[in-house]
Amino acid sequence: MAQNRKFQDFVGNLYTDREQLKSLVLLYDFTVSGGAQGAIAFTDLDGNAATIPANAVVTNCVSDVLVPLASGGSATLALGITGNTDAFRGATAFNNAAYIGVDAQNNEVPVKPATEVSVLATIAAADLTGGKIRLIIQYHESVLA
Amino acid sequence: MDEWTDKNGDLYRLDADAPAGVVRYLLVKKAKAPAKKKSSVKKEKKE
Repeated sequence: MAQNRKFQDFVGNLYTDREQLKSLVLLYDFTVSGGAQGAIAFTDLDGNAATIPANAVVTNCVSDVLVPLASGGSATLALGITGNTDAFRGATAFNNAAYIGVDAQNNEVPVKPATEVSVLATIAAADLTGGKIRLIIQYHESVLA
Repeated sequence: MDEWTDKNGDLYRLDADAPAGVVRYLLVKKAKAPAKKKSSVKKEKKE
């Protein structure tokens, strides 16, 4: 297994995975990240930083709201990436149907970030006071860059 | 990346006061709204 891993690292994505659709499953959890206004980076399911690689072509984004979003005001939430905060969903009221249950979040999809980027939940207008969202992102890595 | 600009010109900066393990960026400078274009149609004078 270790040898295989080493082989893959050496050969690289260009020769091994160029046709494979890849996925990221990310999490925003109010109890961990809070809900203050700003752009909060999604993490992997273990709470570690996770990014989309440079030049990946993102083909799909789906949200799964595990705990309903809450706010004492009229908070909005946008879903996107570093440098394009509404790539997946423009600023939308926290209690909009788009943030209930499972929904497609493909505002500007497909997108191809030129650099490695974080996936962001951008909160504005008021703070969130609760909520947990799982985000499922599918992409192909670039084979040329 | 400690600082970056959104596609609409908004400037975000890494929040040094975010809880440990949380990566949060604060909106530090809002992009100026584009100026409204003047109408090219002149109002007709009433006769």
